[in-house]
Amino acid sequence: MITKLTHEYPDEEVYSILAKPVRKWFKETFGGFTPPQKYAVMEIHKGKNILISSPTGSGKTLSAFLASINELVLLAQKNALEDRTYVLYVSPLKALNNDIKRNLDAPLRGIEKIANLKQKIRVAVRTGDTTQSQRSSMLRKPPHILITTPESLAILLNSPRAVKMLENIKYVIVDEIHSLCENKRGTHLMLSLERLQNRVKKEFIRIGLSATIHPLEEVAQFLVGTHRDCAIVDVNFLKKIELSVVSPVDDFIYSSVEETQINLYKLLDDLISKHKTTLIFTNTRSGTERVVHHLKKMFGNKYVGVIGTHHSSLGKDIRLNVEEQLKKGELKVVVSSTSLELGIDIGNIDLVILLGSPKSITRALQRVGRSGHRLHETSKGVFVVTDRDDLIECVVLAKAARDGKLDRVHIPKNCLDVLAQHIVGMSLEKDWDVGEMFGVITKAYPYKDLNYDDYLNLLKYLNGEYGELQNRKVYGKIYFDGLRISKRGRMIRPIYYMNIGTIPDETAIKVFTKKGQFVGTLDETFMQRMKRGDIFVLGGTPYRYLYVRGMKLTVESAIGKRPTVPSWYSESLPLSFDLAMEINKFRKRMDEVLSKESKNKIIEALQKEFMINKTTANAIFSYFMQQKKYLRIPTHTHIIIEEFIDVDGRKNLIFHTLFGRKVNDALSRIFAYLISEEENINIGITISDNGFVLTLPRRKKVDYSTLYRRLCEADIISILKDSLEGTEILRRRFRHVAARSFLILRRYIDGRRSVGKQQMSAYFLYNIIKKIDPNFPIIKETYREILEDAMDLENTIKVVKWIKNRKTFIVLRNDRELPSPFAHNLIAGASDTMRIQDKKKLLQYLHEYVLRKIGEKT
Amino acid sequence: MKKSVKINGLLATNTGALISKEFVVIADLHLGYERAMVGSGLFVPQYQFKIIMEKLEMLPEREMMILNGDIKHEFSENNPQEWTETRKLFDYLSERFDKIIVVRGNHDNYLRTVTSKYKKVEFVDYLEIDDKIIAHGHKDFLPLHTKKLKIIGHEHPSVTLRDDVGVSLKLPCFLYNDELIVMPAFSPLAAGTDVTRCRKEDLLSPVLKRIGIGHLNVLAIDEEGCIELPEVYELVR
Repeated sequence: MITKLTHEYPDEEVYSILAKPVRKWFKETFGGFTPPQKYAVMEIHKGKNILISSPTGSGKTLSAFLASINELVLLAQKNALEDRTYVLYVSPLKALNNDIKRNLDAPLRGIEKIANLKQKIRVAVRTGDTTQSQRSSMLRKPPHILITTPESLAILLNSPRAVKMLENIKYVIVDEIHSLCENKRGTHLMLSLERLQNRVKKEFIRIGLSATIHPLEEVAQFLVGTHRDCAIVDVNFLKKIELSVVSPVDDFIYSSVEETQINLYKLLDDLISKHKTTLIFTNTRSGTERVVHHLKKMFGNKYVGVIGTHHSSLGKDIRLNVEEQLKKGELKVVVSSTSLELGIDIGNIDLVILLGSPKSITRALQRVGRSGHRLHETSKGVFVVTDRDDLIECVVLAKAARDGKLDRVHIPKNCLDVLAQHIVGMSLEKDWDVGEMFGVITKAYPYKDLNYDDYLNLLKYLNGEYGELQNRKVYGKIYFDGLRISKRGRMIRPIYYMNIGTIPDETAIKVFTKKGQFVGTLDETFMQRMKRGDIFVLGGTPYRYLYVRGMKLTVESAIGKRPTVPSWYSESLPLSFDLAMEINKFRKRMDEVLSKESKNKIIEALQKEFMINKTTANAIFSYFMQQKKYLRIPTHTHIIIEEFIDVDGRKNLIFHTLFGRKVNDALSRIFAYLISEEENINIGITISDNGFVLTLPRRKKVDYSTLYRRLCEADIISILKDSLEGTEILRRRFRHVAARSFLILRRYIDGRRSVGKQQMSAYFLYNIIKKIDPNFPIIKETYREILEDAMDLENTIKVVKWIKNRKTFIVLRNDRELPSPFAHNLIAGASDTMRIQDKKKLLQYLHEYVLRKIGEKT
Repeated sequence: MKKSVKINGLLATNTGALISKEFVVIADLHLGYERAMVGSGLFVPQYQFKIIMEKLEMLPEREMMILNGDIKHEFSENNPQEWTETRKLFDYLSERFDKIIVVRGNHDNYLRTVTSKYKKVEFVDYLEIDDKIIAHGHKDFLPLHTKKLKIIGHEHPSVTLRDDVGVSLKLPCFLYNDELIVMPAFSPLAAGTDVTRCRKEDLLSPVLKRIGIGHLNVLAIDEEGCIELPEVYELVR
């Protein structure tokens, strides 16, 4: 049962359970308890599982640790502290782990001094960075509090000596659970916890720490699993948040690019100078580099030595340095992509600037929440918008945040690749009965609905049953006879250790301009599809492929030229469906109000309701009015399709579907598939948050009523799976899933043989396995990951249902020669393709195309 | 779509074989490739032998079978898959053909150990037959410096067809003019040199490095049939 706590314990009651020295130290240091502490400490003391969601500076760490520290002190006083671990703390960030250790040292040393304890309470950090000697000493003298990462925990579970020290663990704390639950790292951790629980006699107490997230009930279930209770503490409302939206220019359309840029940096400079330390979030790594570059260039000496860059492509040392400087208050401004979103201590930030929409309400609040170090300080966030769509998005977002609306988190379920990894790990622990293992796995929330047949097929795959019988020894990672699972051979243990983890290896090609400026990164498989002279888009700008040396690609700017290959957009964040719907509702209200009210009344109302100034309200009004006058305002109830012939004579179908990029990724492929099948043509797909564009190679006439009918009859899931054949996303995700499931080993032992130029790509592997068994668990998981996690299948089906049930209408407008104002941003989105499904027809089509092109050139 | 096309008096099939009145020639089978991948951490299931056998069954009756190099993939002796499949291959070929000639390729060390057991098999470095020179192509030796029609393998050429919305398809192919035929790999797995994307330095065969591929015609092949294309330099323009 999940219950929300409403009972704040009074200070005296909390003090009463504390040991004398703990009480004394706490009173002297803090005076009293913070709100989350008032809720959590007693509950944990009573042995209850708990999820604590509270803002920065609210004493979250001690809320989680105080009860356990108290217990350790009581034991130490009696000289009863054993050489084993009592508290396990897990967080996704090594930097955070180091911070936590530091934050625990202060109270522990303080209490030890007051109490004059004979036994010292030991705290240790165990991650990939821990040295061998540190690890050995940890086994000799186990820490009472162990701090680690999800990957290191999985390794510890398979080390018999390490597990011994964890066998009577009493408290498990999971930090940053909001960021863990939405990806496979969290799935991986939850299985580790069930495995750990299976070895511990008594149920340990689970404590989750989270930033703003919704719905808390689901995250609590995620923390404790299916059959345990959990209490929820939500004190986020206590932190005051101040949000505002500003624009660098009054009118994006009539201001030149240079003007907008100059004004933007002037605006940033102005905001930075009015605050002590500013944190600027851009949405991409290349954006981060650009902002720092321009600030330094435009304002010279002002920013020397006091500006920092932080993103995941930078080296560890650089990032650590920036974090240290921030903590010490030495920096005036730090520009980050998403890497500083998580809770490491970054000192006193008094302003957060969001350059461009963060694409979800929850993310916006998490970012803004990084400012205002102490609980009573207001978190201040300013959205600086980059174009008209961005402006509307941020204005709607800010209001939704003020109204307390949040977008739903998506927790991946039934991930077969993570499960495969853990099954191998479990086989190394001991022998299992097939039902026994299933029982442990399904206690974890992400696997509560695991299909038993999928589980058996996975075991068969791990048993090497997809090759010839004599090869099972080679391909098998476990030994499974249908009833029992046991380990397979000596080589599996080192293979397992070397390949644990869910984060895919980045075979990232770094892209630089001729002048040496870093542009961004590209996936290797994507780059292999290109040749010299190709033009592709990265970070919103087109570049020409010049040459590649090793892992470095050199390009030159190709602004104004059109891409010759579909572009990949691995970096940009997708607009959440929930926020997209808020914007749809806003569009609908504007549509209604524009026909009824006067301009002045509307502008006044906008200013009041959305807390924006007159110029901003005017900009919004103009944008909507232009769209309404020229064509029509698209909403969730009226999807507009525009047709537009481009300079190359190709027909572009512009779909105004404001549902976020994930849904549009799926929706676009469904429509493309249906049209491609009907007309036997290849189709180019361009996807954005606000809609998508289908490019037809010739001036084809599309029969929309047939299209509608076929959409209503379509088996959506089946179409989506078929539409993924030959696509970029399928290649990438298959490689990731294959690596996690040990079908491809990232690190192997037998390095004797060089593959040379005959390197087989994961895609070849995919094609082979697909022919042998299309329901192969690795393929099944690839589809699941793409459809459910990358593409938001649930909401896509919802939208298609709306269209079928005529809750949403599709309006065709091909009466205009040029695209409407709302369409302009859609044309420059990111892309993929839909190929003709029939191989023979595809070959004939491509053959004809190539010959025709050559004929044209001669 | 045609299943075969005549080039230089020989019939090129969409399965990757060249057929004359007296003989059939295929190249680059790379048996045991999947097992070799395991050593690099890729657990590819066994797959290609079945396909290779199916393609062989489709070949017409001729007196002689010429295997133009790289029958097996590995250099070492440790690959049991290679040996079983190689033996099965030669068992089959011995039944179907009166004479089997193996032209040595760079991967064919130790192959003699297997072939010595078969009476019909002859092992050569190159073959001159019918005024044509057949060699693997990993060495640019003297016999290949001739105006006669040369038939080589080793390169595993392929071609990428692409349209303007970005759909692309990579297909194995024959490269040819009246003095040279470069054969595609008979193996469905071995990745090849993409002629639309490679520079001269990337070519594997020293023969091709000498002659150049720009003026070679392209015949792409697929299960569905043959696709006749113009010269390489036209495709990369």
